[in-house]
Amino acid sequence: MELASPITIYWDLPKGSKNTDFHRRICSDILACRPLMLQLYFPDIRQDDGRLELLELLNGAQIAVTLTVPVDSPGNYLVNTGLKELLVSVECLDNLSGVMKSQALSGISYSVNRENWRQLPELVKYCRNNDVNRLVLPMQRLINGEIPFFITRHEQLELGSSLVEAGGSKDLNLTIHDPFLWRAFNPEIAFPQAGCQAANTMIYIDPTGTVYPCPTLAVSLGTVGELSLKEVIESPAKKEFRRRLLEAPEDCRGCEDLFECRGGCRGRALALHASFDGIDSACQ
Amino acid sequence: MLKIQRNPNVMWREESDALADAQVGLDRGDDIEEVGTAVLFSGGAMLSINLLGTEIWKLCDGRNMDGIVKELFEQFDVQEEVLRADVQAFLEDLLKKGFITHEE
Repeated sequence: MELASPITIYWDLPKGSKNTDFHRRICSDILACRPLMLQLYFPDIRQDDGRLELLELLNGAQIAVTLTVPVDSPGNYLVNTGLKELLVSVECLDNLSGVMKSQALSGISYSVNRENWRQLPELVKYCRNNDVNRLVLPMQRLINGEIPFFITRHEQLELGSSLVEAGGSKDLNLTIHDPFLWRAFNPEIAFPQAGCQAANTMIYIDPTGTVYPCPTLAVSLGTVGELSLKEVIESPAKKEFRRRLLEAPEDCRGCEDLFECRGGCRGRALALHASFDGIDSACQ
Repeated sequence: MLKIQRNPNVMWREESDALADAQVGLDRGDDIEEVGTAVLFSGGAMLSINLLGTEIWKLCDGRNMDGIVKELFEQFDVQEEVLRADVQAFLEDLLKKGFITHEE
């Protein structure tokens, strides 16, 4: 299903609380697009932070706002800010000690990478033992030329077995964007989204205001400030991009899994092959 | 009779452009069944619903089936028994997906 406007907007803010006028503008642009969900990431935040004003602007709008902050940031001053969820961002189990004591926290955002993916079963166990029922495995940011992370099919099976041994994850409210990580957690359930939703149900705004189809897909669609967010979303460039993305990757033609995975993560494949026709390496 | 209520965890939005297109199509006598005029989202699942579905969805505010059918019968040029069957099938699907609840 192709939407006129995304239902989820991801917005990563830059460090520091400068440029609040620009951020206010982005905020009102977001409101004008009427998303259902806004996923905000603050790389730092303080109680006297001017960016908290953005939460006030969003409070009362019909948008479910999730704010993710670094592990040392959450504070009770974020209670009653109208957030649907406050997540703490971690990359290592060692960072978790005592972290969920803040009353404001809803759960954990765990950025999975090559070094820490084998900790996932332990993390799931940690969540169960500490009454943490919300866990998000966020999309990797690939807009600055980072090396894409993926686990191979063999590793997916290994992870799946380890998760079962750790007691499974069925009681967790879990968000997984990577269709192949999803398979490790949910071997019996097909990935719920019909193919890559970049620039359809989602859109991503980076810390400079540049708009991308998703955090993993490094194709700029425009910049807020030069255009409004609505203009970017309604632009012919975005529509053409989306049309191209709906075509299956050339290298996947004939694959019996194509109907289910529909090319997997197209951003990761693009980063690895510099083409929309390459296979997502997590499939191999 | 059971009261029908939207699940408060469902996020939803009417699609204004599609709604305008559907209204124009309806006035012209086109088949607009496939035109999605609202999108519902819950627990990772997204559902696009057409004009009739959207109107049914908006009426899931604690009314019972008779109340919903009565309200829609005044809006749509359709036989009551056909309308009732459509409403029932749509609500059964929403209930199965957890988008609505039934209350005594």
